[in-house]
Amino acid sequence: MPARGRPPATRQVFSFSDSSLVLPEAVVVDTSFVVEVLSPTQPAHQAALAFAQRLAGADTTLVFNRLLELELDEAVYQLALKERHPKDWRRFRHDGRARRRANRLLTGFRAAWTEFLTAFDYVPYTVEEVADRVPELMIRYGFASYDAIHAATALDSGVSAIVAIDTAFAKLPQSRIAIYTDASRLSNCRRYRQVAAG
Amino acid sequence: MTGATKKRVVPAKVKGAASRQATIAKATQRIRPKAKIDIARSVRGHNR
Repeated sequence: MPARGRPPATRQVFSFSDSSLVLPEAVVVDTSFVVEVLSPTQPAHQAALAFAQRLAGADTTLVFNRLLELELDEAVYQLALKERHPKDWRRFRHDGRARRRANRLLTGFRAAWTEFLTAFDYVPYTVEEVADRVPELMIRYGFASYDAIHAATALDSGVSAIVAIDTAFAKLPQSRIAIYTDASRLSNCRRYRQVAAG
Repeated sequence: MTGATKKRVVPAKVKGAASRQATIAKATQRIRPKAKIDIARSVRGHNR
Protein backbone atom coordinates (compact mmCIF):
# COMPACT_ATOMS: atom_id res chain seq x y z
CA MET A 1 0.00 0.00 0.00
CA PRO A 2 1.45 3.43 -0.87
CA ALA A 3 2.34 5.74 2.03
CA ARG A 4 -0.36 8.27 2.85
CA GLY A 5 0.14 12.01 2.93
CA ARG A 6 2.94 14.23 1.77
CA PRO A 7 6.38 12.61 1.49
CA PRO A 8 8.96 13.97 3.98
CA ALA A 9 11.04 16.97 2.83
CA THR A 10 14.40 15.67 1.67
CA ARG A 11 16.32 18.80 2.71
CA GLN A 12 18.89 17.58 0.19
CA VAL A 13 19.71 14.57 2.38
CA PHE A 14 19.48 11.22 0.63
CA SER A 15 19.98 7.59 1.54
CA PHE A 16 22.69 5.99 -0.56
CA SER A 17 20.63 2.80 -0.53
CA ASP A 18 17.98 4.52 -2.65
CA SER A 19 18.26 2.97 -6.10
CA SER A 20 16.35 5.85 -7.72
CA LEU A 21 19.00 8.45 -6.80
CA VAL A 22 20.42 10.65 -9.52
CA LEU A 23 24.17 10.36 -9.00
CA PRO A 24 26.28 13.54 -8.82
CA GLU A 25 28.99 14.45 -11.31
CA ALA A 26 31.41 14.85 -8.39
CA VAL A 27 31.20 14.07 -4.69
CA VAL A 28 33.32 14.79 -1.64
CA VAL A 29 34.05 11.61 0.30
CA ASP A 30 34.41 11.66 4.06
CA THR A 31 36.55 9.20 6.03
CA SER A 32 33.46 7.67 7.65
CA PHE A 33 32.22 6.49 4.25
CA VAL A 34 35.59 5.08 3.19
CA VAL A 35 35.89 3.09 6.43
CA GLU A 36 32.44 1.65 5.79
CA VAL A 37 33.29 0.68 2.21
CA LEU A 38 36.69 -0.86 2.89
CA SER A 39 35.99 -2.84 6.05
CA PRO A 40 33.65 -5.82 5.54
CA THR A 41 32.73 -5.95 9.24
CA GLN A 42 31.19 -2.47 9.31
CA PRO A 43 27.40 -2.36 9.79
CA ALA A 44 26.68 -0.39 6.60
CA HIS A 45 29.39 -2.08 4.53
CA GLN A 46 27.16 -3.68 1.91
CA ALA A 47 25.14 -0.52 1.26
CA ALA A 48 28.28 1.66 1.17
CA LEU A 49 30.07 -0.76 -1.15
CA ALA A 50 27.10 -0.87 -3.50
CA PHE A 51 26.95 2.93 -3.58
CA ALA A 52 30.68 3.21 -4.27
CA GLN A 53 30.25 0.79 -7.16
CA ARG A 54 27.37 2.84 -8.52
CA LEU A 55 29.48 6.00 -8.32
CA ALA A 56 32.32 4.30 -10.16
CA GLY A 57 29.94 3.02 -12.81
CA ALA A 58 28.54 6.53 -13.30
CA ASP A 59 32.01 8.13 -13.75
CA THR A 60 31.56 10.27 -10.65
CA THR A 61 34.71 12.16 -9.65
CA LEU A 62 35.77 11.77 -6.02
CA VAL A 63 37.10 14.80 -4.15
CA PHE A 64 38.72 14.27 -0.76
CA ASN A 65 41.11 15.83 1.68
CA ARG A 66 44.32 13.94 2.47
CA LEU A 67 43.35 14.23 6.11
CA LEU A 68 41.08 11.28 5.27
CA GLU A 69 44.12 9.01 4.96
CA LEU A 70 45.45 9.95 8.39
CA GLU A 71 42.02 9.49 9.95
CA LEU A 72 41.82 6.09 8.28
CA ASP A 73 45.19 5.17 9.84
CA GLU A 74 43.97 6.17 13.28
CA ALA A 75 40.72 4.21 12.92
CA VAL A 76 42.72 1.15 11.86
CA TYR A 77 45.18 1.49 14.73
CA GLN A 78 42.25 1.60 17.11
CA LEU A 79 40.87 -1.52 15.43
CA ALA A 80 44.10 -3.37 16.30
CA LEU A 81 43.84 -2.16 19.90
CA LYS A 82 40.19 -3.18 20.15
CA GLU A 83 40.91 -6.64 18.77
CA ARG A 84 43.52 -7.25 21.45
CA HIS A 85 41.90 -5.41 24.35
CA PRO A 86 38.15 -5.29 23.64
CA LYS A 87 37.12 -3.76 26.96
CA ASP A 88 39.84 -1.34 27.97
CA TRP A 89 41.70 -0.64 24.75
CA ARG A 90 42.52 3.00 25.49
CA ARG A 91 44.68 2.03 28.47
CA PHE A 92 46.83 -0.25 26.29
CA ARG A 93 47.60 2.18 23.49
CA HIS A 94 51.20 2.72 24.56
CA ASP A 95 52.18 -0.78 25.65
CA GLY A 96 53.22 -1.68 22.11
CA ARG A 97 51.71 -5.16 21.89
CA ALA A 98 49.15 -4.17 19.24
CA ARG A 99 51.70 -2.55 16.96
CA ARG A 100 52.50 -5.59 14.83
CA ARG A 101 48.81 -6.26 14.14
CA ALA A 102 48.26 -2.53 13.56
CA ASN A 103 51.04 -2.54 11.00
CA ARG A 104 49.44 -5.41 9.07
CA LEU A 105 46.01 -3.77 9.17
CA LEU A 106 47.40 -0.37 8.19
CA THR A 107 49.22 -1.89 5.25
CA GLY A 108 46.05 -3.68 4.16
CA PHE A 109 43.83 -0.61 4.46
CA ARG A 110 46.33 1.61 2.65
CA ALA A 111 46.61 -0.92 -0.18
CA ALA A 112 42.81 -1.22 -0.34
CA TRP A 113 42.42 2.57 -0.47
CA THR A 114 45.01 2.86 -3.24
CA GLU A 115 43.28 0.14 -5.23
CA PHE A 116 39.88 1.71 -4.58
CA LEU A 117 41.09 5.01 -6.05
CA THR A 118 42.17 3.37 -9.30
CA ALA A 119 38.48 2.94 -10.11
CA PHE A 120 37.78 6.69 -9.95
CA ASP A 121 38.78 10.03 -11.34
CA TYR A 122 39.73 11.90 -8.19
CA VAL A 123 40.97 15.21 -6.82
CA PRO A 124 43.03 15.16 -3.61
CA TYR A 125 43.22 18.30 -1.48
CA THR A 126 45.74 18.94 1.27
CA VAL A 127 44.96 20.32 4.71
CA GLU A 128 47.06 23.42 3.99
CA GLU A 129 44.93 24.33 0.98
CA VAL A 130 41.77 24.70 3.02
CA ALA A 131 43.08 25.47 6.51
CA ASP A 132 42.35 29.20 6.24
CA ARG A 133 38.61 28.49 5.91
CA VAL A 134 38.45 26.25 8.97
CA PRO A 135 38.03 28.87 11.76
CA GLU A 136 35.18 30.55 9.87
CA LEU A 137 33.36 27.22 9.42
CA MET A 138 33.86 26.36 13.09
CA ILE A 139 32.41 29.66 14.21
CA ARG A 140 29.63 29.84 11.66
CA TYR A 141 28.35 26.26 11.87
CA GLY A 142 29.85 24.85 15.08
CA PHE A 143 32.01 22.28 13.32
CA ALA A 144 34.80 20.44 15.10
CA SER A 145 38.10 21.34 13.42
CA TYR A 146 38.58 18.03 11.59
CA ASP A 147 34.99 18.05 10.29
CA ALA A 148 35.55 21.63 9.16
CA ILE A 149 38.49 20.51 6.99
CA HIS A 150 36.26 18.15 5.01
CA ALA A 151 33.52 20.79 4.81
CA ALA A 152 36.06 23.38 3.64
CA THR A 153 37.27 20.94 0.99
CA ALA A 154 33.71 20.69 -0.32
CA LEU A 155 33.24 24.45 -0.38
CA ASP A 156 36.64 25.18 -1.91
CA SER A 157 36.24 22.59 -4.67
CA GLY A 158 32.77 23.82 -5.60
CA VAL A 159 31.40 20.28 -5.31
CA SER A 160 27.77 20.23 -4.25
CA ALA A 161 27.52 16.74 -2.72
CA ILE A 162 29.18 14.89 0.14
CA VAL A 163 28.93 11.24 1.12
CA ALA A 164 29.39 10.60 4.83
CA ILE A 165 28.20 8.32 7.61
CA ASP A 166 28.19 11.30 9.91
CA THR A 167 25.43 13.73 10.76
CA ALA A 168 27.84 16.65 11.32
CA PHE A 169 27.70 17.83 7.71
CA ALA A 170 23.97 18.55 8.04
CA LYS A 171 25.07 21.86 9.55
CA LEU A 172 25.93 23.08 6.06
CA PRO A 173 23.01 24.75 4.25
CA GLN A 174 20.99 22.57 1.89
CA SER A 175 21.30 25.24 -0.80
CA ARG A 176 25.04 24.59 -0.83
CA ILE A 177 25.50 20.83 -0.47
CA ALA A 178 23.55 17.59 -0.77
CA ILE A 179 24.32 14.81 1.69
CA TYR A 180 24.36 11.12 0.86
CA THR A 181 24.30 8.96 3.96
CA ASP A 182 23.12 5.58 5.23
CA ALA A 183 19.42 5.03 5.85
CA SER A 184 19.76 5.04 9.65
CA ARG A 185 21.08 8.63 9.70
CA LEU A 186 18.60 10.06 7.24
CA SER A 187 16.03 11.42 9.69
CA ASN A 188 18.64 12.88 12.07
CA CYS A 189 20.45 14.62 9.20
CA ARG A 190 17.18 16.11 7.98
CA ARG A 191 16.22 17.21 11.48
CA TYR A 192 19.62 18.87 12.06
CA ARG A 193 19.25 20.66 8.72
CA GLN A 194 15.82 21.92 9.69
CA VAL A 195 17.16 23.18 13.03
CA ALA A 196 20.21 24.80 11.41
CA ALA A 197 17.98 26.60 8.90
CA GLY A 198 16.15 28.09 11.87
CA MET B 1 33.00 21.53 -9.35
CA THR B 2 35.01 24.66 -10.09
CA GLY B 3 37.19 24.97 -13.17
CA ALA B 4 40.31 24.93 -11.02
CA THR B 5 39.25 21.66 -9.42
CA LYS B 6 38.49 20.11 -12.81
CA LYS B 7 42.05 20.85 -13.93
CA ARG B 8 43.42 18.85 -11.01
CA VAL B 9 41.57 15.61 -11.71
CA VAL B 10 43.71 12.46 -11.49
CA PRO B 11 42.21 10.11 -14.08
CA ALA B 12 41.02 6.62 -13.16
CA LYS B 13 43.46 3.83 -14.01
CA VAL B 14 40.67 1.32 -14.48
CA LYS B 15 38.28 1.95 -17.35
CA GLY B 16 34.80 0.56 -17.88
CA ALA B 17 31.98 0.33 -15.35
CA ALA B 18 32.19 -3.43 -14.80
CA SER B 19 35.98 -3.41 -14.30
CA ARG B 20 35.74 -0.51 -11.86
CA GLN B 21 33.06 -2.23 -9.83
CA ALA B 22 35.11 -5.41 -9.70
CA THR B 23 38.19 -3.43 -8.61
CA ILE B 24 36.28 -1.88 -5.71
CA ALA B 25 34.96 -5.26 -4.59
CA LYS B 26 38.48 -6.71 -4.77
CA ALA B 27 39.91 -3.83 -2.73
CA THR B 28 37.57 -4.59 0.14
CA GLN B 29 38.70 -8.21 0.21
CA ARG B 30 42.13 -7.09 1.39
CA ILE B 31 40.76 -6.26 4.80
CA ARG B 32 40.40 -9.04 7.34
CA PRO B 33 39.41 -7.77 10.79
CA LYS B 34 39.47 -10.62 13.33
CA ALA B 35 36.29 -9.63 15.09
CA LYS B 36 33.14 -7.76 14.23
CA ILE B 37 34.23 -4.46 15.75
CA ASP B 38 32.50 -1.28 14.61
CA ILE B 39 35.30 1.23 14.09
CA ALA B 40 33.01 4.04 12.95
CA ARG B 41 33.44 5.84 16.27
CA SER B 42 37.19 5.75 15.79
CA VAL B 43 36.87 8.29 12.97
CA ARG B 44 37.15 11.62 14.77
CA GLY B 45 35.47 9.92 17.72
CA HIS B 46 32.14 11.67 17.84
CA ASN B 47 28.42 11.24 17.24
CA ARG B 48 28.56 9.81 13.72
